[in-house]
Amino acid sequence: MSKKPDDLCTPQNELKSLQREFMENLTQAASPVRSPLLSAMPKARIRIYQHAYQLRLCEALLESFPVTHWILGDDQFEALSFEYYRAYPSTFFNISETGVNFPKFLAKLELEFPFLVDLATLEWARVVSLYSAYSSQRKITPLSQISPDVLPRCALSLTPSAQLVSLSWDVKPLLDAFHSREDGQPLEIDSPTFQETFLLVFSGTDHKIEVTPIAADAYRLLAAIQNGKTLEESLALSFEESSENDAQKITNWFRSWTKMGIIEGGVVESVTRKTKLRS
Amino acid sequence: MSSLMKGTSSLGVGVGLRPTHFPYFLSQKPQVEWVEIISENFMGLRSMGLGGRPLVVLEKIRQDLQVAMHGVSLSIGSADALDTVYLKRLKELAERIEPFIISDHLCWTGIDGRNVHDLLPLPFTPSAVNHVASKIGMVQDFLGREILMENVSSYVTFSTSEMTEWEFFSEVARQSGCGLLVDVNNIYVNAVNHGFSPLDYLHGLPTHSVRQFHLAGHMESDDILIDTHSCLVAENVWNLYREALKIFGTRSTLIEWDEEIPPIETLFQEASKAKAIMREEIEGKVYEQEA
Repeated sequence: MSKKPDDLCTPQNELKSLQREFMENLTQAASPVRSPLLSAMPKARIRIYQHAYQLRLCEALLESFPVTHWILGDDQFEALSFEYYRAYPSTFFNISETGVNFPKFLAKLELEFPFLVDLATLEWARVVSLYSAYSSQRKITPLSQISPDVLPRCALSLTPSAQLVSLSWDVKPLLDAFHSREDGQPLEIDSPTFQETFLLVFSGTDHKIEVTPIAADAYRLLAAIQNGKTLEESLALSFEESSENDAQKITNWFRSWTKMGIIEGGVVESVTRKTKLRS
Repeated sequence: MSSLMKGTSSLGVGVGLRPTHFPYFLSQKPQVEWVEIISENFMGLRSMGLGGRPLVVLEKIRQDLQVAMHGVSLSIGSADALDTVYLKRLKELAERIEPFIISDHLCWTGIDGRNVHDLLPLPFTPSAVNHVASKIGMVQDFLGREILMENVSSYVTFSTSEMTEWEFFSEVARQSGCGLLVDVNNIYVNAVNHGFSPLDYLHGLPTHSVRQFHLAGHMESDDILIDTHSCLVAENVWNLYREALKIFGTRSTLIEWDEEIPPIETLFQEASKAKAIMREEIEGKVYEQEA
């Protein structure tokens, strides 16, 4: 039977074995140092790497989830961060991205604070907004340059920083209070209420991350647009029956979203493509 | 002085640009010639394109200052293949920022697609040299420019090593044609931790490959030194820096500070100290030439 490539004793495979063993020691704090490849060094020296690994990732998580950390306290947050990185080791070049699965991880736990998953979800949306791309990669035409008869069949494009968040708990006041407090000041705030909440998180004109509450139908409309639906499809999905009141409301939303920079423009190409397909 | 500085391709002394100091750099005239960024902090998220507030700030700062791009996730020594998504994003950032230097570390940061976000040591073997040099060649070809490799601090060594750290470092430069970023503090830390002479290390490096110096603080813990980047540069490291300037001449020098980051004035004081030492060494050389 022929050997598999990984079984062959090549310099490349030796390096791979050494690195796998080293990493196992580094990420599994309780495991003994087994490597015969390491020179006779005290275990304390491997523990420097173990400790640095845990500390670095815990700090990265804390930076992305400062309010979640504040609620949990140092010890519990640290313990959760160790468990989290065991379950979801980093595969990212930017350490800030390693928190991507933290809300999902928290959702599987029985937590003392039922609103914590929603809080972490909102905090992660802020991180994504902070690091979002300048613009989507698609060819975008400004809304003002799109003819009104074409517009309904256009797929609109939201700014990549726009994050739509749907929550069961109204955690925004908690987030606001935390971020607006003076350094070192104690924070006293009521526990969040159990209330369906829709939020739009985006990077504002001065690149400050904004969190704005939106109506449920506005959320549905933006979500449909974000999923690539045309404007008329998005409206149909968001409003079962449209009224004159709705028309005015929608006009106002679009005016406001355009002013906030949420709508980048429209993808006219999509209209042309659909027309060609129909013909 | 300026002609000597120019002749050795030195931009003088810079400091690490960290988010804590963004407001300063956006509002004041900086007291340094250049800054160094951690490339990955400005490369956005893997799942998205290049962008984000940090990059907007950097582009503003770049209008007044030269920038060196210093990476921590290239993982050139990993047995894994190069990460093409990472490389494309790095190139995109370089095209946008036009840095005067692109560097990373002679180390590995993960295996099997995982990243532990630490700079882990390599065994000093000829096969590791071949492996790393070949990957550096690919990176340089892809970016269309020279990159620098930095020596890392370490707390363990491998029983399979067949050469000294400086032989390994030099051989990688020779085989790949990369430049060397000599971290003077890391040499000192490793010299204490592994028991070799830091001067032997410096004298063992190819002078023509050395492009840049790093200076940083370390802490003592029991019988070893930990490379913490959390305090002032130690006196022994300043002395070693003087020796490095004597051997290699002036090179762009960076003051690194990554933990417990102090007010910007502290970094500028350290930068002034490095500038003064650089000036003394240049004047010493001029004096020797005249004599």
